[in-house]
Amino acid sequence: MKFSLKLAQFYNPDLAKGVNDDDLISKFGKQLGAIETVESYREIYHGVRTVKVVSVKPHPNADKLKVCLVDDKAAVKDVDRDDNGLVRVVCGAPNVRAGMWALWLPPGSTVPESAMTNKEFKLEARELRGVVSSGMLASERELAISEEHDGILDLAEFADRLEKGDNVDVVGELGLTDLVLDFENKMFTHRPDCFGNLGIARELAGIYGKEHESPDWYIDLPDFDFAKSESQSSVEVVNSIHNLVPRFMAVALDSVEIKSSPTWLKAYIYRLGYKPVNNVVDATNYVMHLLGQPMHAFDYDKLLKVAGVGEGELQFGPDLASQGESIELLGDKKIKLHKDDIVIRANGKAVALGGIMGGKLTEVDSGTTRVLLECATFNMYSVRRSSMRHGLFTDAAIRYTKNQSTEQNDRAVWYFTKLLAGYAGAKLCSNLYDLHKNSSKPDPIGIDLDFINLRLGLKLEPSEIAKLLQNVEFRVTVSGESIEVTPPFWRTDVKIAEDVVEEVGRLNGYDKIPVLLPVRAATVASSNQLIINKQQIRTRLEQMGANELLTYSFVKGDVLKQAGIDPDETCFEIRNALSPSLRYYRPTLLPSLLEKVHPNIKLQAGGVDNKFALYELGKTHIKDAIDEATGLPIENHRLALVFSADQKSALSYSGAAYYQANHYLETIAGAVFEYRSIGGTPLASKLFEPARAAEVWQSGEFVGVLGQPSRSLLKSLKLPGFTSMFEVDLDMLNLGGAKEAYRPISNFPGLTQDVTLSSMGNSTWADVTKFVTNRISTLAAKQSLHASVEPGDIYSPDGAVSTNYSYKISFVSMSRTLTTGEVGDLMTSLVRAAEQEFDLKVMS
Amino acid sequence: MKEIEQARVQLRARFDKLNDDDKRTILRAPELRDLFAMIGSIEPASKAQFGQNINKLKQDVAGWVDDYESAAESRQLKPIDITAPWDINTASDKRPASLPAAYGSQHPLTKEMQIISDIYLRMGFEVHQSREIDNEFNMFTSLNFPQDHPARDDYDTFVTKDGYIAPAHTSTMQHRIISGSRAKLEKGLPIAAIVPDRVFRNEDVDATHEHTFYQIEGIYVDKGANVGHLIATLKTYMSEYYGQELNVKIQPFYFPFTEPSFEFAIERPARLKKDDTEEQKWLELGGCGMIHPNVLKQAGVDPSIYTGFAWGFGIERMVMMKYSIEDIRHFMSGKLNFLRQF
Repeated sequence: MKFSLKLAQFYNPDLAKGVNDDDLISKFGKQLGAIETVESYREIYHGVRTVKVVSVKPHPNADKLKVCLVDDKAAVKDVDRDDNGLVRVVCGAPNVRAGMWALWLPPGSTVPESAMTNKEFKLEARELRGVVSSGMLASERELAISEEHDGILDLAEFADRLEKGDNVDVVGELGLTDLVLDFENKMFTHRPDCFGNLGIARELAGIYGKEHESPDWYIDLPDFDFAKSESQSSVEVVNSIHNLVPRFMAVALDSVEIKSSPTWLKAYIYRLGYKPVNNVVDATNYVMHLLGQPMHAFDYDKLLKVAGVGEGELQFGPDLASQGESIELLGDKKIKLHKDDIVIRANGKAVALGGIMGGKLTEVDSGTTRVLLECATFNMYSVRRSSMRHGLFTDAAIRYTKNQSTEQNDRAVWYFTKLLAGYAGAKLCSNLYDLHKNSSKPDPIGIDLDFINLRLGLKLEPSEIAKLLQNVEFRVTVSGESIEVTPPFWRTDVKIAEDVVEEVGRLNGYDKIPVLLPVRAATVASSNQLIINKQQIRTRLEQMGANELLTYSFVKGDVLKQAGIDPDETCFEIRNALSPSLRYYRPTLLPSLLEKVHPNIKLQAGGVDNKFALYELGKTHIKDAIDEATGLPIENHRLALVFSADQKSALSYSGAAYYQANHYLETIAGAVFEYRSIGGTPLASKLFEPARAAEVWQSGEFVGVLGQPSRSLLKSLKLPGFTSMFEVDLDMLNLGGAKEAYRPISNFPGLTQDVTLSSMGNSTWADVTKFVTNRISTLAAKQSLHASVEPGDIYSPDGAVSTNYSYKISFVSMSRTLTTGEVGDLMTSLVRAAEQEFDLKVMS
Repeated sequence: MKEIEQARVQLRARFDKLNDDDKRTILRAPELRDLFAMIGSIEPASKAQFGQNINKLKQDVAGWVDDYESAAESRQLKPIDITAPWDINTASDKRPASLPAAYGSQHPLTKEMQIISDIYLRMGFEVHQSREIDNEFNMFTSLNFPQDHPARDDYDTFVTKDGYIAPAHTSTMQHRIISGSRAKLEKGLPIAAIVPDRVFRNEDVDATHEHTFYQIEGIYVDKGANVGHLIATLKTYMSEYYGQELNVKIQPFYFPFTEPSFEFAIERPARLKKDDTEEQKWLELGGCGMIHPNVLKQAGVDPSIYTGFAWGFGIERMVMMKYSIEDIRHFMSGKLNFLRQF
């Protein structure tokens, strides 16, 4: 929304006194809201001169050009003049004529339009088809006051006074040297009044500590006593949806002379971002911009035609649309209406989309002579839904969705009628219709002085608070320390005491608030175990040369399908994602990680040693898993890691890649897990190669899955053959839970023995190791010794069915030096037990 | 379309009966050829759909073969001992090993969140996590956004088919934290918490915009909490984070869940300052305000006794400024040449 300082100064001349642009911009930002852009028209009209065109002659060498002599009363120096002191200007405008008054841009001046577009064009005397022209006569476009470029600006409005020889400051009177500030709409989502120039003028006055007085016609609505037409028409105005349209006003005007608006008005609305159309349409835009109150002017005769009724038979008013109904709007937009859209009907026919846009068939055009003005208040939520539904975000819709007051429609109608009576000769040809059941003015709010000061950290006096609020036209009564505040009718946003706190703090200036830390009890802020665990994992993985990455929480269906997951069955689906790659909440982190492998391998991103471990700490979701207490999907906290090495780097390992992921998991967890084959894990079916994968269990709980990617994934994601991965649930993972209790250190030397046991293939390494560890510990304990077991080679001679497991077993005593004899006995007992109880053979 | 479904049943039955070595021959089954030949005679309206369905069948049949062959290859793979620390016959220098520590890195965003959380923890703020899937109540309603209020448009939220919402700000935790910590207020202790976590906005991605990013929310509720306390809390944190005394300024803004609402800016820290121009003087960082009485009320806290303030800012921008990172997309790219620089 754009704001014109000139317009504000017109309504509050105090804003022209001692107010400097830079200071104003800075105060605006600090006390009202951030400004997006500043457009200054201050300096661009310096060179512009008012001239009379004395003579117009054909150009000797060009049909379309004319050679004019203009009189600037010798105001400009250093320009060629004829004997009579007149200046020659070549002009191509069809409307140039002797005797007219125009604006001249002399040599050395800059075309104002060009100054606003940062492509400054400086004029000089130059030859046009053999005739030297000193500068140019300016069109509205060149003057940056509209897009009109069919001719030069004709100062007919000023001609009488200029002819009389009055000293007229044309640029000044047109209000051209403006300062236009543009700010984001969302800053004023709660401020209906700030969508009107008058509202912002009032705020600025408040910020400068000046009293603002809105124009009399806005505060005390004058009588509606405009000139009446001889022929009066009657309209039946009906409102069947009073709950959605709390106020609906209409009035008909005839004798309307459609033409271009007065130059000042055109220039204003153009600077404020509207395209000047004609005096009627421009006036609706001007009033809307001034007050924040939208309105729509219909061609009355077209309404009768569309309605198919005769004079005096028009039935007019708001209604809900019917399903299947359609309407053609301004700008040739044809839309299918929804049953919740509010429309304006003329004898049943929809002629406008209420609060959003008028219809094409009843548009005011150059042939219009009678106008029916509608000025309503529509339900903000209804307008918002229709606006979203049809993608129509018009200036009117933006304002209606800010909850405009129902108390200003009559003011807006009065002011619009005054403008049209003045600029279009319009006369009233109907009653003023006003369907307004409940007047809704803001209620008084009672507040204690403390309530305000405590929230702002200030020590304001009641009188100071009263002054701040009265400046912006709140009514304030102070009695001791209680303050009663009645917001003006346009402040529908001020409802509770906290709203008043904001007004006081803002108008007083936030920079006046003392900056002091809160004083509080010295309690401990409790720690968050999940965050601590994650940080511990990150530290360990960084030490293990792994890289943490982050990937999107949403994935596309293809990747999931490749991993054997039916996304529609398993995943929450996003229904409005702009990008098709963000369709499903991921049920596992692994596919996202695997997708990052190939690009990195290809780029040799791992360096000459092209191997890496990528991991992510993230969340996963499964469609049917809902927490009953909160009704929200259960969030699983997961750790996933992928290890990958290109063909060359993989040579530093031998055997299945499975063991590399296994190494990472066991090292970070500081634990030994139980591994089971993955038969029944649903998510694992196509994600993993079944012969190279395992379920990970800890203390009887399922923790996650580990292994090598399936063949189909290797192929579709172009993964190196030496790739393995795991994904575990952080809530199930017990970090470092397997550490043994502290054992005192012995002062006596220990002894170490090696043993190799051969299994015929029925036992796993874990079974054997567990047996060896438990048995030797028990045997040693009986002799008051401590034994520790370190696994060694796992060896299977080529073609042999058996597997050999080697262990290094160390013994130590707290009280004596061990002899080889006693250790030998323990080893013999172990070996015997292995052969008898565990079907293991001892290798010599 | 019936023909296609019939063919599917026939083909599957035949596939299951085929010998191991002949499974592949199903790909050349005459039924598929015949179906393709039928396309020409299908009425134009359903031709496209018919074609798609045949293609789908053809893909499915290829899938059966792939699945079968994968399973067959798996069966041929020599089983490994999944309980062992390394494979059979692995020499001691070729066993699984960690990569050199020098290769390791932590993501710059989680690293920064750790630094930020640590400062707040030292200031006495608890650290909470947010959610990645939430509901309208926590995203809007509990934060005083009326149903259909235009302020909801300012958050381009991702919505699931079941009506869940991907949080567009970490303020979704306000209601939960305040209502969950109410007991503290009754003991005369403040509620002081921060939430650094992932948020989502449904918008197009470019060098400065991401649909997935990180935000930190701060909450403080106590008797007598005021705007001056809010500014001082921001100032204390920012000064510690940037290692120099910095001023904070606030300017009016609008959020439905705070009243009054502000945007805040800090004096630009020396190490991020290019010159002494006005533009370089302030660094706009985020939004803040006094918690709206309706938010407190909904969380079961009496706003006539307790007041509170909240603030929030984005993390990517701070990290990008810190390291002069030129493109926000690097964060989620998973590129090693990016990750290993941290």
